[in-house]
Amino acid sequence: MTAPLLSIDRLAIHVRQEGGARLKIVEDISFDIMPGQFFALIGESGSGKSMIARAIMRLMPDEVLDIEGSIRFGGHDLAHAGESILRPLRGSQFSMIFQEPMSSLDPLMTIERQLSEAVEAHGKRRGVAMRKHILDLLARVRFRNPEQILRSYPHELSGGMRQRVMIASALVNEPKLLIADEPTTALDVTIQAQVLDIIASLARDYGLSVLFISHDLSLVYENADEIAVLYGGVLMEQGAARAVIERPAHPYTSALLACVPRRRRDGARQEGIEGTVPSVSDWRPGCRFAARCAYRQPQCTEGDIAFRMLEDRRVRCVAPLLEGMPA
Amino acid sequence: MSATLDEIAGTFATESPLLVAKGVTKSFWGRTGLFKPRAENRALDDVSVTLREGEILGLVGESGCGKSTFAKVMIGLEKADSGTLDLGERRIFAPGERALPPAERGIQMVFQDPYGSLNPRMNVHSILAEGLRIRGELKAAEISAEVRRHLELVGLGPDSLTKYPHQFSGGQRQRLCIARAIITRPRLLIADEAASALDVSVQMQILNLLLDLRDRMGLAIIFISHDMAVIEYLCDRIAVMYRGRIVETGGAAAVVDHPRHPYTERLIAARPRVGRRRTQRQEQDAESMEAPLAPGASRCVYVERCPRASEICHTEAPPMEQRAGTAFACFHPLEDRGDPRPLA
Repeated sequence: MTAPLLSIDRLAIHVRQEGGARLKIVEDISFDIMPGQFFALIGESGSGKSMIARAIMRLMPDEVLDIEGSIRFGGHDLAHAGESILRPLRGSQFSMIFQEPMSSLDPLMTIERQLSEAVEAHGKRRGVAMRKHILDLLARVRFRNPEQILRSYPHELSGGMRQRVMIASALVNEPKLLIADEPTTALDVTIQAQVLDIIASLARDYGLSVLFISHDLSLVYENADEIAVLYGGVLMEQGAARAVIERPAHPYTSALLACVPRRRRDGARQEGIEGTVPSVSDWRPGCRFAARCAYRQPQCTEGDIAFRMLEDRRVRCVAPLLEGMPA
Repeated sequence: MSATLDEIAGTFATESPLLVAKGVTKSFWGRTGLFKPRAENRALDDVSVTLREGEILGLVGESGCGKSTFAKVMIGLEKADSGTLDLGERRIFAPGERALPPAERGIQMVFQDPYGSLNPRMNVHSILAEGLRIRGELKAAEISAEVRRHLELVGLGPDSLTKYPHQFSGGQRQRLCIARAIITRPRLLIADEAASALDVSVQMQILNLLLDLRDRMGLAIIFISHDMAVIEYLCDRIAVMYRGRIVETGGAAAVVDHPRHPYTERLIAARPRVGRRRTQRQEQDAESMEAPLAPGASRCVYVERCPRASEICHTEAPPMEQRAGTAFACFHPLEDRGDPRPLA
């Protein structure tokens, strides 16, 4: 069995709230990402999904007080490594793309200048070899005319083109892991499908591992190998994409799937989920989803619930749905 | 149910429609560079739409297609260059006539961002009462009763009355926006991406609320979205917009099951769907940097991206053609899905 590329073990993140109170916004997060795996981390607002991504990059906002647990990657513990260890790893071993590509590009520099700078920062290539490498990458993210893109400034490109440039930029030093935080959310649907397809084919054809973060379960279903579902700062369910979608074990996963709109037959409605996503300050002991769960039982709110193995996946629920709902 | 909706789709309507927009055109003038001359960018080009009472029309298209401009023209935030708009017996605007002021149009709108649409310094009672107060038709006690009634209608309790917008979640704020929009009894509600910014688990609540309001009040709704899945759930009819023109319109089920225009087909194929895995997509660099469409250009608006484009598509604008409950503007329409008519 191959070793995981990234191994997160009991990760917890504490932040300082306005007024000075200390809050644990993410806890008991453990998962592995294998080489070449497309790993989807799904969560709604406030679930902590972006915080986990930033913890791996160790690009944390100021209000983060400390990180517990470990993030093992290539012999290092990223959760506690110093900046001198992290700096050479960022970009060359793992890199990240964000929702809004325009804010990650310098408006005054040509695409060639920006991509070259990223290569030079790690000093692996220069001159003609560097240029050829960059052109190859731009072709790989499906630009028809890479030369023309190199001469362009960011404002001359559309949103989807900018995001493809960002993907190329993230891959320019051949990292092993790409973290993509809602990279298609700001894009038009037809372009969204294309960008997603490009990322998936990079995983499939070049062995790149992808941590894809999204709020939309239906978006990743086509491409993900593994899906982890996050709610209220903890993992609710994790398993092979097909298993999780076709036979969800956690009532939250199942309810999320039921929220994907379909055609109404004879005027029948889909229910959605009652209530709203709780904010951190409203988290209560026990299952974070209990207040909205249709299968709630007394023991759901009694104390911590373990993330345990159940058949082919892991689930955090006292009464998981053994018979999954039809997807 | 869907069969009857198909029959009355598009211009097949037998009973007189509530909303009739005819030939609405709107251009913006702007420079593409500091030293370049100002150029005309036609945001709406001859847009015609009809809507019956209690009907929900999905206006679908991608960013920049003109769907939001059309909404703004209807409620009066922008002025149309030409075209007419009638709502029931009310003439909203027409060439050579004075346009009806926004407050008298009977059209209200809900926006994508409920955070930005509510005044943070006003409590819920003031927010909802404002529109009625300005009209000055009701006494204070009557206004308060209306406020309570509409809060309940959107599923919020009377304890909300003294609260401020920041005390609500995103979904609840969108309910407030909807309550504020319907309290003045509009005949048409325009919802511009009204569910897109919400959590997936909350989105369905808002969609169902819109369905309730339609059922209870007979409200006509134009739901603007880029999301085909949401459109299919909510809407009776669909109008697909591309670069300022309506390229296809018809009953929702008919359009989704048998898209005729290649752009509609592309939109439907791009929709993520649970239950489908790793289908081979068309590998193409779909994005070209499109110049603003020259006014009166005689060609198809989709010609640059269309895999079916032929010579005529470059030299003539396709007229609207009707077939089996849908109307579309294409010289090479798809017959049925996966069974395209040979290219001319």
